[in-house]
Order: sequence, then structure tokens, then C-alpha cells
Amino acid sequence: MKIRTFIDQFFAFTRKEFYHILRDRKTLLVLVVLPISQLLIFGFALNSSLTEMPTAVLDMSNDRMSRQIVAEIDASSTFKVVERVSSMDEVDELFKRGNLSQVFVFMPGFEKEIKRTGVGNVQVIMDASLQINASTLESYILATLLNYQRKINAGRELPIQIVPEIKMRYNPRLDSAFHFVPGVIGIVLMLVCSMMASLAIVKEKESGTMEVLLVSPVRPPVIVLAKLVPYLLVGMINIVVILLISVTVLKVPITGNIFLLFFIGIVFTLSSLALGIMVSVLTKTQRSAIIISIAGLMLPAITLSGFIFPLDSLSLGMKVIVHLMPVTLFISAARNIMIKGLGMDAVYPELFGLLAITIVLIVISIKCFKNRLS
Amino acid sequence: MERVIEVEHLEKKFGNFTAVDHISFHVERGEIFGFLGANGAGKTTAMRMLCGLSKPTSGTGRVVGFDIARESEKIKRGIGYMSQKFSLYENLTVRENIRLYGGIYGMRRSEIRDKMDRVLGDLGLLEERNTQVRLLPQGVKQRLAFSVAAFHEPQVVFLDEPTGGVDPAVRRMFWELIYQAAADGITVFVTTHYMDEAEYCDRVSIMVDGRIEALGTPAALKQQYGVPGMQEVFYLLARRAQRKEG
Repeated sequence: MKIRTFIDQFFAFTRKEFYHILRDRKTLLVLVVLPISQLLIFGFALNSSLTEMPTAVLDMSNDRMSRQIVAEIDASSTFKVVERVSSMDEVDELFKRGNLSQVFVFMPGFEKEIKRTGVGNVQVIMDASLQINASTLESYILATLLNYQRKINAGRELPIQIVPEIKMRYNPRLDSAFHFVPGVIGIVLMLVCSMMASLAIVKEKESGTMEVLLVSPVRPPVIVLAKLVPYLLVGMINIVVILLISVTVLKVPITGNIFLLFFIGIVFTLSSLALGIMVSVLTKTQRSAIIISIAGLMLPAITLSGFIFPLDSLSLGMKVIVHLMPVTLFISAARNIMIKGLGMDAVYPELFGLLAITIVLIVISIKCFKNRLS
Repeated sequence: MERVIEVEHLEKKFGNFTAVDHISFHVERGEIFGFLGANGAGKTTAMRMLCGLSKPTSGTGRVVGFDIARESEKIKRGIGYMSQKFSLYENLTVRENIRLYGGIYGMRRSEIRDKMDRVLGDLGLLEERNTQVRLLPQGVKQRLAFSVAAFHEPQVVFLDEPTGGVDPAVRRMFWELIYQAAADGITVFVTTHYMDEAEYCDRVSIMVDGRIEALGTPAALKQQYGVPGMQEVFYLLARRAQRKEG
């Protein structure tokens, strides 16, 4: 086919797809509002404030200051001292029973040390298996100790310092409280893009317009690629909105390059759309397309992408498989950029992976589409 | 006369089921050819092969000068098609639908604009050009769909039960468009099960159980079976059917 015709057809089709989206106000509303509400719900649900967290105290110094600090901790609404223990073995025992959030340990001679050096160390051992809670609690511990420090320094000539020494149990390399936000972005983008794309072609099969297209000289690549364009634009708007909300409402700092993040977001959007389009090509009804995109795409994306469960524990085979999902690659890259502040050289494997997957999916869609013609 | 459609021993099998059983016929340029048959007789399957939508199991056929098994992409550029289901985009306006289909067939913008005014004038739809198609009455939609299928001036227009769900008066208006297209030299290949429509055709074929059981002008068929209308001809033949409907 002549390139001219191809381009003419492509523009005619892209225009048509834009009309479809813009006229279907309800769907458009869903496409924009759904990701925002999802992000806020996930964001706040996982960021919820914690109260009365069971706390133990091992006070081997038992002096005035250590007792004051314990009282301070107990008085805050976040912590509740439920146990006083006398040895590290008992601490271990309590953690094993699983009903302890953290232990405050005061070494012998706590107050004496402060009087001598001006600095006192409080050891805090935390159950970090719920990493989101742990990092929130960490900030509460800091705040409580600072509060006490400020009180005691009032009217004192030489200020003293209380330094918490925090040790994590069960999850020692707790990355960040904001660990989950890149995950939410990935899941929400995928939800919107795959779902809407999965309906794009099958909708025309149901309405009967597809038959007319098949009898016309228009080629599958034109139909498939033209479907992607307007959805990609919606996806880009979503990325901007989601990042804005993450920064302004959820207060997640973006330490890395925001343009790199945006670019990877676009490639990821494209791969999610390609997944949806493939579902759309392979199914016959909108209903089965929706079921497949929920059960076949969303469930694995939520459970196996590293969004909730860490991927470290997976076997090598499973690791390879989960890394073939675009959402896994995106979440990993987004965490590297947003939280660790890493640059291009840290994320190019993910970027190329996403590009490769996208191309493969689009080629599969076009090929399978062609089969239906004959 | 030039043969625009020519089919020899065309067969289509799905597993053990023979949907189309060695049919042979031809259609001449400018003819209105009625392709009749009960539901399940195989007429849609046969038509899909002619349009290049499905490949024949055996037999040969040529449409607008190209082989239906090997040159379906070339055929597609020379034909128009209107399906059983409604074939325009409901949430696009009249003008946008026409522009889309014009674009698909590689028509130039100026060409589309000029032709659109003429076609919409004929349909009396000039005022409705910016109305979304879903808001038009069924009969108007069908006439518009036909005009769109014939918009790029194809050699043959295939109509798959184009007038479903409308009353005879509206069907009559639809057929005026068909006559006009035929007068312009467009061949019309139409499937239907309305026998009043069969009477409007130049020639008809009647399919029963995948085979063409009768073929000729409506007048000749009525004479052959000694009955006053196509309705009776159709009943006489359809009674022989072994297959269940659907």
C-alpha cells in the first residue's frame, strides 16, 4: 500500500477515535476521575495514622530521665506501654509472640551518660514487617523524643540530645514510607489503560462496524495504531494528574528526574494499552474482554508486581515471569527514580524491557487481527 | 455484458458442515442481483467469500476482475459493503462518518466535500450533516449507510439484509436509492428475506441448504413454478430444506 494512503487512513481513523472518546462523556469522566480517587484511597488508606501501638520497655538504667521518657512515650496517643521487661531474651520472646510493635531499650547509666557527654542513646527495636507502619512509627518516635528534648532543654545552659538508635526486625532494609506510591501509580495507570483499550476493538466487533472495516481496504496496523493515539493522550494526562496529587496531597517527594519519570510513564502507558488492545483483538465480546483484563491482567499485576509483596522471595523462574509484566518493570523504575533518586543508567533495563514488550504486544495484536480477516 | 462477479463451484466447509455447497453463478455490470435464502441457507457465508472476508474451501470466483482466494485486498478497493448490523458509527455525525469512509478509500478531501454535498442533497440530509447518526430515524440511517457504502463509487455494492426492521414504505424509499446506483452503473448484490424486495431485483437466486436451487428473473421464476408471486416461489423451495434454521 502507498504510504500516502496509509497516512491518510491513519489520520481519518485517529480523528474518529478522538470523536468517540470526547463524545462519551461518562467514560471520559471515569477515565480521569477513577485514577484520582484510586490514588487517594490507596494513598490515605496506607498512610493512615496509627494509635496505641503495643510497646515494651527494657529499662536497664531506671533513672529519672529514662522514666520521664517512658512516661512521655506512654502519654502519646501513638504508643501504649504494655510490658516492662528485664532482659533481651524477654524482648525476643515478645516479638515472637507477634503482639509487639516496638521496644525501647535504655542501657545502664543512661542519665549519667547524658550528664557526661550531653548525648543519650535510646535503642528502639521495631517490627518492620509492615514496612509502611514501621516508617510512619519511626517518625512518631523521633517526634516524641524531640518533644521531650525540647522540654528538658528549656532553661538549660548546655542543651542535651536524645538520639534514637532504631533497629528493624524482619525487614531490616526498610526503604521508605513512600515505597508504595510508585506502586499505586503503576497499578492505577494500568487499570485505566488496559481496561479502556481492552474494549476498544471488541466494541466495534459487537456493534458491527468492524465487519465494514474488514471489507474495506484499511489494514490492521492502521486500525490498531489509530486506537492507541487518543488513549495514550488520556494516559499522559493521567500521569500528570497522578504525579501532581502524589506530590501535593500525598507529600511524596520526587527525588529523581521528573521528566525521566514522565517518559517512563508514557512508555508504560503504551505497553498497558498494547496489552489491552491484544485482549480486545483476541476476544469476541466486551464482557469477556473485561473479565480477561481483570482476572488475567489486574490480579497478577496487583499481587505479583512487587506492589504489595516483595519480589526477593520468588524463585528464579517466577522472577523472570513477573519481570515480563510491564507493571513490574514500571514500579521498579519508578521507585528507583522517585525514592532513590537514581538516573537514566539505573533504569535503562526497565525502559528497554518496556519498549520491547510493547513492540511485541503490538505486533501480536496486528498479526492476530490479520488472521481474523482470512 | 461484462461479468462483475463470476463464481464456479464455490464451496465452504466448517469441519463436516458444508455451509456453501458448490454454487455457480455470475452477475453482470449494472445488475441488481437478489441473493435469497432462508436463515442458515448459507447466503451470508457465500457473500463473505465474495467480499474477501473468508476463504473458499474449494472452487473459484472472481469479483471486479480479481481472484477471491488470492487477491482479496484488491477486491476490497473495488467494492462497497453494508452489513446486517448497522454499519455507521452512531456517535459520529453524518459528515464525520462520510469523511471517515472517504478517507478509508483514499478519496481526496476536495473530492469528499463535493460528493458529500451531492449525496446529502439527494438524501435530504443537508440540514442534518452535523447531527450524530444515533439521533436519526432507522430508515434514514439505512439510506445513509447505503450512500456511504456507495460513496467511493465502487463497482459492486454488497448489501447484507440492508432493510431489517423497517416497514415496506421505508423499504421502497431505500430501493429508490438502489435503482439510482444501478443506473449510475454500480452493480448491486443484495441478500434479503423480504419477498417484496425480491420483486424489485433484475435477477434473483434462491439458496436452500447451501445450494442455489433457482436462478432467474422474478418473472421467469414465477412462470417456472406457476405461482403469482415470489413469496410462493420461495415457500415452494424453502419447504425442501433439511437444515434447521440458524
